[in-house]
Amino acid sequence: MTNENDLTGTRFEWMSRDEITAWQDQRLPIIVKQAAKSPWYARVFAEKGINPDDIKGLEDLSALPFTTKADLRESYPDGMLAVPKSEVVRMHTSSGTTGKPTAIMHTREDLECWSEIMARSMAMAGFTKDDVFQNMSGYGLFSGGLGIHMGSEKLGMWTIPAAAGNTARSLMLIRDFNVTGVHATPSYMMHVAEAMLQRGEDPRELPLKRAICGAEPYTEEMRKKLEELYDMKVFNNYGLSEMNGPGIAFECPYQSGMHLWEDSYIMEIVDPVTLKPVPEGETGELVLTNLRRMGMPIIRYRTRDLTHLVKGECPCGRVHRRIARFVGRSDDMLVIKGVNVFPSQIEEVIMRKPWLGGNYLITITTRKQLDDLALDVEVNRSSFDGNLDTLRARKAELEADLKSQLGFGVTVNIVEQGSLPVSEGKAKRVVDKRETL
Amino acid sequence: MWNLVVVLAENKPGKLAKIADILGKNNVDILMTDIDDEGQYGIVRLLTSNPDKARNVLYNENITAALTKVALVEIPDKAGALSVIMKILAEEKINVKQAMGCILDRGKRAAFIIIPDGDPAEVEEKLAKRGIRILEEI
Repeated sequence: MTNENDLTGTRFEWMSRDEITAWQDQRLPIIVKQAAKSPWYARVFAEKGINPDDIKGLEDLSALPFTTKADLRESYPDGMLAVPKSEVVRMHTSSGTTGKPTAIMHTREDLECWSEIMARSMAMAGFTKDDVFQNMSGYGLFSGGLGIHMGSEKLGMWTIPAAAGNTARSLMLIRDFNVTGVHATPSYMMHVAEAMLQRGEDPRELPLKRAICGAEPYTEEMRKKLEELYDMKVFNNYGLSEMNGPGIAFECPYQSGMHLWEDSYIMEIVDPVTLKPVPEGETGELVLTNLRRMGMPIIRYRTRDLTHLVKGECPCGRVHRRIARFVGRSDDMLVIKGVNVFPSQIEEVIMRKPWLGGNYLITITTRKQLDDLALDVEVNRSSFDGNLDTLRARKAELEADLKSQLGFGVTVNIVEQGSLPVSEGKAKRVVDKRETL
Repeated sequence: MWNLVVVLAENKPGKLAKIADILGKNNVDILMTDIDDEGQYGIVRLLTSNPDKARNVLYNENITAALTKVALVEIPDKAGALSVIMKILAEEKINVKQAMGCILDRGKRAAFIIIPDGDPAEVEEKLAKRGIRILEEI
């Protein structure tokens, strides 16, 4: 352990496996005792007969109860707060992907820790204080805005809080201030590139070198497409506001999985049904425990995000274990004709076809008592050659590829570019109109 | 060689009106329209006075428009004229995928458009050799 004041966080970043385990072993009892100060955990521990003093280290983790989104809602507004209210300096709410938001409170020290892992993540991706960084994520209650902002400032970058929307102004700032790094959702980056191409402008002429994309799931194909369109590196970021926000796991320059910062979180990957750990490398639900957030620690939080551990050592030398790109959320999974389907599987097929624009909408209906999946996809306007035969052949090929990917037939509707709704936050990709029985 | 403007358009009311409106505002004459219905979307083909301009003004209004090469010939606007050109097409063994026409000058001139199963330039060449007038402008 070197300089404790090192702001780029090399102290935690380059820990050895043994150091991480020792740190977690030491932190878990502290964080459990801290959580027990909140009315919620005091009650839950009492009900389950758990004495916080009995939690001696990592081996006692499995004795602790899981925490769910429903628990967070039930403890709303501040049932999980473990410090006096006067210690709170910031509140965020979850982005409300599903249902009502939940509130998360931070102390000054919590924000300091979060800024540190965020700055550490950005430095790992290659950002330096010489970069000009434009944050095109929504600010306000959404943790992605201020979380990235704090990290960018902490790293010393020239930070432009452009926020989401107003594409013309964002582009003006990028050009005028020679912006080299951005943060936005992948669908927004795609939307900006399309808008530029339609005006006959080339996104590769922008000064951008690196982007952080996150806040919604996207495929490797979408990343490659964005990297090509802008001629820049796109880094995958994972976060959820319940556990702070962005920066929980982040890619290093090798871009093979995201290093989850195990000094700040204990990670478990469990079977979403049995809640038992899955064998290493198999897909399961990510479960996280805060190790550094003292204001509102959450124990064994079920993220609903499905991933697996990337096996082996990362060539970058960091030993914080890597999680793979998410295959979906355990509650995003669609069951169609008895088959488990993730929207990401469909997106993968779409992104492989340059004649498609990238924007799509999945609609599920009931037809003759059977599930029917329809896919509206926008053509890429510049690829349209005016030939109906080409279009028919492309459509048939897309339908065949989807059938082989999903195992059942999909009705494809080709639509004009620009006819599907574009969202500047999280893209709404699925409409389920099925009759519930 | 003449180009048709081809538009991929969602099959809903008002789409054609929008296309016609944009072309009208830009002083592009529409001489003929043809629509292929593909269910959710349609393919609209337009014979216009200025295909390049038509395609560009539509494209700039976010419409999925492209140009496609066709064989465009002039025939007299009188009974029997079509039968003459059909015979020539048969004799030259030209397979026609789609054909359409419009009157340019009532009782005098008509335009006949051929989308062949092959290269339209070859078709024009064959027809020219048989004395058919190829239209270079309209």
